[in-house]
Amino acid sequence: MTTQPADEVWSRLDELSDDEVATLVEAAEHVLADLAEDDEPGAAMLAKMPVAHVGPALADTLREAGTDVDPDAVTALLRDTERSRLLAVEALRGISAEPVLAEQVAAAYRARREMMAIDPSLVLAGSLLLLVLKLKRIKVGKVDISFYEVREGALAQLRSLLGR
Amino acid sequence: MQNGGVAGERPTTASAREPTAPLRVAALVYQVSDERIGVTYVAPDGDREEQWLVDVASVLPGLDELRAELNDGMALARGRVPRLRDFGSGWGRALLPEVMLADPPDVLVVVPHAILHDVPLHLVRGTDDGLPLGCRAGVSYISSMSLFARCAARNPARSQDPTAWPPPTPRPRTLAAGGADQLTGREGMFRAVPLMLADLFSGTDLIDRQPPGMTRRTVKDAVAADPDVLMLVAHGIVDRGDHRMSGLLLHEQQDAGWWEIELAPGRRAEFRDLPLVDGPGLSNRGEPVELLTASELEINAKLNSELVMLLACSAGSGQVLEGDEPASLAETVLRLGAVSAVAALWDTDFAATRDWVAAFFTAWLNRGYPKALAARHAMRQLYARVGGERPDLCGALTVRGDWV
Repeated sequence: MTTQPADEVWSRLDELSDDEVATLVEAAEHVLADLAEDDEPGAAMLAKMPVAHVGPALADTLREAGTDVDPDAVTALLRDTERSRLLAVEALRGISAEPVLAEQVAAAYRARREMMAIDPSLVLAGSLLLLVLKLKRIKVGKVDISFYEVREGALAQLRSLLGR
Repeated sequence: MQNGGVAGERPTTASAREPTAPLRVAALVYQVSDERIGVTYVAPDGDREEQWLVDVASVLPGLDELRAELNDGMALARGRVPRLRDFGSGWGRALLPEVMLADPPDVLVVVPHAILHDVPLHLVRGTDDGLPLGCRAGVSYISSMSLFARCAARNPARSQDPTAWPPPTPRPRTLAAGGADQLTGREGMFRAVPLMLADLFSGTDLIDRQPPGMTRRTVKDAVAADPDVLMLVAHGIVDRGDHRMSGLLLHEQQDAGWWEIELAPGRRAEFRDLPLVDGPGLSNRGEPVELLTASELEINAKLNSELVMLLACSAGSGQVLEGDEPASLAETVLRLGAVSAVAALWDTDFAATRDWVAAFFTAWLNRGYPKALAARHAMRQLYARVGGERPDLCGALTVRGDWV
């Protein structure tokens, strides 16, 4: 088995196929929910929320951040394949900027890709966005990671795609 | 892993009683009512003992959580399987009679019922040495006693005493095998799995050697040739809504071709050999893919193989249908005529799968072990390497059907 360097997947972020992005999103959700579980007991549930519930939850978060949006518009955005991918890639880009976290997500991604399984090709960005927006900080070992910049990047992308 | 030879076996640290002649073969036949889980223990001497094990209500939440974990591909990939570990070393023991924990037989045939289908009882640890049951006994699962009888009746290996130990010299077997991976670009590795086993067989038909590779047609042609062993290494897709649309992801057939069926004696009809459902459009390299579904096998294939090895994720798991039929690809091949099947209960790591397979075939074909004891040997090899923290790796693959 060849082991790829941790940054291999991150350096190809914009070129990844949809199923690769979908797996990377799933890996990021899993790692974030796992790391946040001690401080945010509901994090695992956020990672499993259906799109119909994620849309209104994201709209609430946007409202708290000063942007009023129609929850249905957010849900429609999340269901749009192309725009959902853009949202996912932006959130993943923010995660890739945190080396310790990026390493864990890349390791989960690689492990999943080395299994004899098929992952969905549909990029579902909603739960990852929700995690990124709800979590303020997480601890990876002794490293304390603030989500401020990741959150701001994701919010800006979300507003832009919603035309706000 | 080198082509043309089996990887060197690693010494095992797992200790368990070695078999003596004649092999002690026992069975556990479960009965699940609305309220309780019971079992009939058929002892090696033929004595039968019925007992109630546990209330359904006390294990149902745990079973639900365990299934959720085993369906979480990312949890498996990351080795985050606390519920599986809890099951093996804790509450799972309530699902076995005391004798299984203290002094298991050499071979155990497990006939689950209702909510117990797909539950990995072979991962329950013994009370004395802490080893999983699958490292102490050769375990084979079968969905019903009638299916077991059918599997056993068509097993040519039963022409000799199956309880003989040491086992008799194994007879030569033929292999038809192929691998396909359009998802991750590792087709060469998938195809290398049967290649590494080729020396163990008297004849090998590689059904993936012609472009575009392994297709629905090459698999069905291989089935029709009646190989002793059919091995398919591919990505598995599980359709939880309609299990008959579950299947294996293969290369697209370039020429659909025709199939013939006999409508009545002397009256034949031809039909196009098209896939029953569209592929999921998941190619990594832009190559079109097709699904060989359980339904298509049911239409086209009559299996006479002594073993069908389905090395594809979750080919051994599925919902339980009416009539207590566990809906999985492995169950389908047994019902189509295979004597035994080996398949994974959950998504599996490629390297662990390859190591398990190498150890299994060495024990079965070189040493002449019955399949269930070959599985025990393979599990012990893997357990010695990965340890008790990763039961998901050493316990994914199981033998179904006849244990011989």
